[in-house]
Amino acid sequence: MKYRKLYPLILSGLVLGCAEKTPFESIARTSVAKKTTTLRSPAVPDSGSAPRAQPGDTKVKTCSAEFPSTLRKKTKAEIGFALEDLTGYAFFPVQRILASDPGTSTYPSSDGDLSWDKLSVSKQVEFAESVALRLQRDLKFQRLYSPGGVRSPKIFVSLTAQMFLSGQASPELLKELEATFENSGSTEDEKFFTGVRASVFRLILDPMFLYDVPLNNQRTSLSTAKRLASFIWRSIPDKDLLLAAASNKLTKPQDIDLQVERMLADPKALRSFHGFVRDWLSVSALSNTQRSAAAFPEFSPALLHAMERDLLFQMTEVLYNQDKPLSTLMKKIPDTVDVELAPILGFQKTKESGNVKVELPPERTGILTHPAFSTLLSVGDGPNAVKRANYTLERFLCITLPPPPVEGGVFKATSLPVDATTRDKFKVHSDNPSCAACHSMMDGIGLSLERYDALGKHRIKYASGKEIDPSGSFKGAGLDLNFKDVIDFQLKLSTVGASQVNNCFVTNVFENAVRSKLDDSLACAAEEVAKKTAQGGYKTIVKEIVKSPAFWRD
Amino acid sequence: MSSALGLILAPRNLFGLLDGKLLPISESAQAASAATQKKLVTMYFPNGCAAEFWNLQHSLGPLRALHDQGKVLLLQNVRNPLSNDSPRDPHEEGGASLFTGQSLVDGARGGGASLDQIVSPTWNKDTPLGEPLVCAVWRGFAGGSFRSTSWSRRSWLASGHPANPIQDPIDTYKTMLGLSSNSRIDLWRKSALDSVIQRYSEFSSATSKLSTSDKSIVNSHMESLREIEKSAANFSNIAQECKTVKEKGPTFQGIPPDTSGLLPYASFQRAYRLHMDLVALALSCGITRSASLGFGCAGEEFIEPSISPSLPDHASSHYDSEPTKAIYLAYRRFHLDNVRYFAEKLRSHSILDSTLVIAGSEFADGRTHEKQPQPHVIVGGGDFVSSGSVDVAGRSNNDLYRTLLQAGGVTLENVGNKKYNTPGEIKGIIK
Repeated sequence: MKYRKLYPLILSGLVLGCAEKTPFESIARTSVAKKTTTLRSPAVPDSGSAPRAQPGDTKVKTCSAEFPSTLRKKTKAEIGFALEDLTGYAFFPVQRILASDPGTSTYPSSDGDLSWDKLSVSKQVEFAESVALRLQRDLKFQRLYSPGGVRSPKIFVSLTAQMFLSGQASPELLKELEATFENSGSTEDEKFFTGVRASVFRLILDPMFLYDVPLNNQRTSLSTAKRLASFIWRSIPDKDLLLAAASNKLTKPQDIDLQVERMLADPKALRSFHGFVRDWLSVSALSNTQRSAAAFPEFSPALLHAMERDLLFQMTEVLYNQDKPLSTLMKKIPDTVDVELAPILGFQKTKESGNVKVELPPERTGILTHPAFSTLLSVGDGPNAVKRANYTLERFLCITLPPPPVEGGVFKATSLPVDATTRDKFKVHSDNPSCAACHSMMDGIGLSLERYDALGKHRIKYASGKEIDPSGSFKGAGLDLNFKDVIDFQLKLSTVGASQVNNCFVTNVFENAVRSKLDDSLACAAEEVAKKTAQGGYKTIVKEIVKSPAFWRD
Repeated sequence: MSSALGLILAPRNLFGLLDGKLLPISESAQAASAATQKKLVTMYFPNGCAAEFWNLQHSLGPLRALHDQGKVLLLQNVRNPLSNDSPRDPHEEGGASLFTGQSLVDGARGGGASLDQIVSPTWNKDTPLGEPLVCAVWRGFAGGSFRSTSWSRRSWLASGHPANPIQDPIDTYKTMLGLSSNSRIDLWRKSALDSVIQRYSEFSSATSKLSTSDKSIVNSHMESLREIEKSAANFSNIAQECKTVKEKGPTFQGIPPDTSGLLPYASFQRAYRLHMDLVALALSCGITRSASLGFGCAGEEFIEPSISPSLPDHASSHYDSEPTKAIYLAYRRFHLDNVRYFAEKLRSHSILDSTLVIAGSEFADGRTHEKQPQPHVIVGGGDFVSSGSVDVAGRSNNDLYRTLLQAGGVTLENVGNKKYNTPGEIKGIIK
């Protein structure tokens, strides 16, 4: 990193302090008149008897720009990425140290919960201490903030504080941090190292580092920079963004467009995309998978890693590099796959490593057949059709089903023969009114995936010898589909169901952008974005979301 | 930033100050408080003491003056009933039961909590350290073995769980001031936390533009930080109170490192006395109210040149002649002189009467490994235990420990192994 450009700005008094109030006239949130739009409701039946909106129902929603103001805690990933960007080190054990942080969950926007309990704050203090200790004597880190190799507490403090706090370090804080270099030891080295440690510790715990503060109708160039960095990089602004903010180069839409283009071209955007995919698809849960060696001799942690790697590759290739919509992946996945998946996908493994170009068999058409999903959505050594269906509905169609009813819906296995198929079991559900509503949406999808075992290998028969019938139907989200197998199902999703799939992807990206579930107003905004990005992938969606006033809400 | 910081970051500087240059701190409110709070220290010395030497004419000679001043309670005929509960070495068995009243458990570990740990939850709950200060120096039996079992541990958190002692006095000092542990907060951390709390306070102030619900989140965060900071404040106050000189004294040059690599310092005595200085300071400053001091491990083979240039402590305990028996006795007097030193140190801080020092060893005669009576002597604690001599007439060490705790206000139905507890206090101990 080179801070030469930033350095004179900071030292010449153009400190990006809290007082910065650059008007954000062109795209500032305005009192947009309420307008109405038709929003497709993902409403689903519940388990009770009260009539519920049926899938595909529509209702009129208000697309409003009146948004609540909320403080948002940065996610563990954001803190980790920010420290990586600030220090040049990617090894900070954020996940381990903050593993018990109750403010994080998995899906969809892992960090919506702001309730930090005392343990969590205590963990944060420990974490700050460990990072500060690590950097105390790290000359590589210190050189980043010592322009020209000159070791100066004043310059070091100025640069680190403004970078850590995104230009919001007050003059008082700078003086306070400088003082730690004066009173910290008997030798110059001792003073400097302890000053570094004290400064880093202090900065990491600062609310401006740990929280995203609401804009409060006072959107500034600085807050624009922070929000862009949070969304596109899952990190904090770099020097170029801060400089742009300091020089009022983030006030016009075209200025922002330029920055967004630059940011999307930065590897940090791909890192962020991978993080988003991991959250969206719960890919990290793969590492917890276990299979018996008797049933799956090919199972290994390395295989799980290969699945995760390959899934990220497929997603990256189509959604990110080609910038194509998600429905594209339903039709066909790239024919370049991880060589370690050879025993699963059924091609001959070569001596090559990494990705190899292969001709995939027809049963591998479409992303839903990816072994990562089959593996993730199995229990023990057996596939779980309910989990697979639920997951598909939730992650690719944004339909969340309620939990099964407490009474009346318990599946009574004893009423079926031991070699009963999944279809036989589902039949029991469908015959039970309290189960039928949801199972009518789930069963067809679950059954269509039955031909993939608990590691994703293709099969045509159950262990009992009975042939697997992968045909099914799906009615919901405005779709009424009959299909002969999952390939056919995906083909239909990529055509008549493309807008539903792509809208759902936009919803997920939007949730990632605002780090929360979408309320009606945001859902409305997401739909607007979806309309404008029907042919585009992740990057196109990101650019469009940034243009949406809803993205800039507090 | 506190002016004490420089001292904290240069701990070696303080050792010179500890070495006879301590200024009285009785003027401070904290010291005044420490002078009245009950405190407990266990002190171990290795290789036992033959019954014939367990008197003021022989091994306990160094304590005679203190005894005459009413600062010593000499205990005779304390029985260690646990020593036959396992087939292990008597050093191990006696060492495990000393201060615990428990038998060995699997892996030759102590079978229960030791006295310093038993009182800790109550006595240390409001101290910054929050736990006993556990210090020891040792080289090990036969020059380095048995370093991880009951041979060397004298403080036990619970059955099978030793509290690992600090061997380097510098680490003891750092622990006292919280520099070596993430759970402790030193001064710059406290200062940083103060600053962060102020920042959160601004966020949640009336003029802040945050919503009410957001303010409550910030407030919650701030309160958590305040709780963490509170312990830092304790340390800060203590650092000020314990800053026992007005200006820097001569710098302690350090003890030559032990070339065997087994000890932080070559000189047991020098290192041990520094530990004693620091423990006394910690007790007087209220950093902790219980501690464990251990000189050597069971079977310790250290050599004190002034006693013998070649015969180590443990080897002398297997005396086979009058000259070697005399050396064994000299080593006993050496150990009891360390008890005297510690008592004097406590007295210099005006906390001798409020501090119960229980000194003992694993068994009686080193030559025969005779287990009875187990040597115990009480120093200090005059606020709540008697002085003089008491023949406990074969009552168990369980009964002794229970009685001593009762004197300190800790009433327990049993201490250590239940079956060796007999009803009633030992007469003549509680004041």
